[in-house]
Amino acid sequence: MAAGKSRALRIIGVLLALVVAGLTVEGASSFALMARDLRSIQPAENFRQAQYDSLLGWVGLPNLHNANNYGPNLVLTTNAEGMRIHSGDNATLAPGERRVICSGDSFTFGSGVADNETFCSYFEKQFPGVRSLNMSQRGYGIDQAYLWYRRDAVRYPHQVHLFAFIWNDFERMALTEFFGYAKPILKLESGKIVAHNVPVPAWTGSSQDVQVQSVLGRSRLMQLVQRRVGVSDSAKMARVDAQVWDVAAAVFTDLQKLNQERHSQLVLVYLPTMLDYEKGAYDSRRERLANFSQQSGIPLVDLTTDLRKVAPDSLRWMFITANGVPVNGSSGHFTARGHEWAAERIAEHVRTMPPVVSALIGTAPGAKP
Amino acid sequence: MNTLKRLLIGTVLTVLIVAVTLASLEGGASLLLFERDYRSAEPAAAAVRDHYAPDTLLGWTGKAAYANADEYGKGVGLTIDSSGRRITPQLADSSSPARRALVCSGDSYTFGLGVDDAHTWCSQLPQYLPNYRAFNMGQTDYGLDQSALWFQRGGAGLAPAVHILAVTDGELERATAESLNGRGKPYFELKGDKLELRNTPVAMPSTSKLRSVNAKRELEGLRVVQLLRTRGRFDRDRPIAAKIESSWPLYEKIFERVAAVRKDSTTLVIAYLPIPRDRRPGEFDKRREKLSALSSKNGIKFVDLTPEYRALRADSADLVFITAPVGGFVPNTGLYSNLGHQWIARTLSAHLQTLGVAAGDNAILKPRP
Repeated sequence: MAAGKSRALRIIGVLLALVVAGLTVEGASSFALMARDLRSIQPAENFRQAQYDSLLGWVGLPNLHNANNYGPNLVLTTNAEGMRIHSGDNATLAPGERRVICSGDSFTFGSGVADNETFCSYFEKQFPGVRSLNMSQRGYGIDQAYLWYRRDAVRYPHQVHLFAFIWNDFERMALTEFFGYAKPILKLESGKIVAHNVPVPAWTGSSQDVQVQSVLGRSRLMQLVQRRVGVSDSAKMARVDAQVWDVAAAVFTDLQKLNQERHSQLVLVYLPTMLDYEKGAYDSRRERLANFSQQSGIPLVDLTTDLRKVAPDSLRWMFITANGVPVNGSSGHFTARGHEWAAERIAEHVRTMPPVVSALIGTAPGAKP
Repeated sequence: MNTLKRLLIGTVLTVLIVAVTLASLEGGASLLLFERDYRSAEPAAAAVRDHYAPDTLLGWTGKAAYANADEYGKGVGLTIDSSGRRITPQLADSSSPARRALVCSGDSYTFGLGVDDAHTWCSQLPQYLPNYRAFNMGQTDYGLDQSALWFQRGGAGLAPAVHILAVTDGELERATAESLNGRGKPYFELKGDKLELRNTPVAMPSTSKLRSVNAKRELEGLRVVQLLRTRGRFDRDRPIAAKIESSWPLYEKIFERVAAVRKDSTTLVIAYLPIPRDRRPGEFDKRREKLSALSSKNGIKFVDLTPEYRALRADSADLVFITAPVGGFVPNTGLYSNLGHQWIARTLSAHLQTLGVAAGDNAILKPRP
């Protein structure tokens, strides 16, 4: 009896050991594959051309001129403040010229295209006598674009401010770092916008945090957890909006106030990405933006409706393809054609806004050009 | 000394226990995910397409009189005629008996998975070759064997002046298999100098079998399997490559068989259609060279569109294929887009003219600035 029991226990022990061994082999294989992936990580390209800024996290490197930055003849030039420029010194305007400032992220910056191929530079062709200043930066959220404008735009008298953003710029407002680089985060305290995480923790060199996180995400344990707690895109967006919407609204309101003080007309611009082409999770935020614009009186140009009218095969010419530009991180952004289209559509919308038109053509509001 | 030894052993044991625990957790999660995916696996979409009809010779063919105006998206329709062929809308305008028939055989790249009836390269050929009316005898997921058999059965009756047998790497691979995603198909074996047809009549698969075949694919989700696949001996592509390498005499016989159909009145042209992996020179170039040599040996005209594809600008080359936006998903990625089909039609027509196979409209085919 005792011998039988002992034998049974031995068998159970062996089976248990086999199970643990099997699980360990599977788990060890997973770790081995992750280690392999970690060894081949490349740093994010965009931040090679940025430098630390204690308020904004990063700004562009000043006085840059790379003739083939994004590929043959796809030049990138910046001025002394790290702003992208396309026609030499645009710090001073000739008599009678007006200036439009474009704020935003890499879509406004023009990742993947030359200096004179951004929608900001193309916008000049829509209104004679208008010069544009590109105050956008790669990787910026709405918060950083706002802070930069608030701090530095006063040095550049302007008549119109195009504050452009994509859907992800809201998500970035919820973060204290982006791609491993520290950034400010805005909060509302007694109705006032307060910047936290400033001075932003200093950084030097490149970070691979995001890529490392992406590799860790391939862990089967992580995947199991994500499946259990997985949420839809709509739910994720709602969660972000619960955290940042009021702050974003306060930012837009403060931008309106700042523009008024600076005798400028503010226009909010929602730039669609390819992900906006089909109706989906992002539409609820766009509807909210439209309602906000109506209630606050701050003009909004939403190019999503225009994008959805573009035929699918023409649409693909507007966004940089996976191998279109030999610079990692450029794909998904507007091509030169996309930028030209965006400039034309923004101008078309702006022409229905008399105060903005008047500011651009230099007449009093209501006066005929 | 004993204390040190005990400490060392204790540390090693602790590390080992922690490592085994972590690995077991990771392995357990992996097996849990595998078990769920295995149980919930549905038949592969490629095995149960709505427009398929079972066929005892070919395995599957187009469902006669099938029509769906939104098959691949709003307004992107698929129509199949009473013979199981995808329609070529120009046929309605160009059905004059004075126009000679041109048949296009092949797989989904010829069928035009993802684009509408009028945008397949076959449908567009008459634009460049106005003396011809085109018949699309492409079928999704066909191997070279099925294309040959179908032409024998249904193409000869069209009395084509030209038969374009479009070949992709996938067709060569499928011609070495007796099933695809659990759905049986005919295949040829070479006995001496003769082709012998096997696996006919093709048995109709059950849904449970299709599901079970797809479920087995979930094994690839196991991390130990993925790790083994990185080792040359367990690489999935190696046995396929080896099979193709040993099948050239078989392919030659299939080409001879197709060429023999109406050999005095139909000109056979083998056209190699590039797919995304043909973008860069590599090991698959040898297959194209073999195809060319084989065709030449048998006096069959051969067209290879890969050099022109490689000469395209990087973004144009990307746009030849249906691609997903960054962070998004679209079905049928990797197949020709509308632009891709247009490019194929144009480039192929130019080759056919150069070969003296088909007279075209020189004005249309002149290089565009």
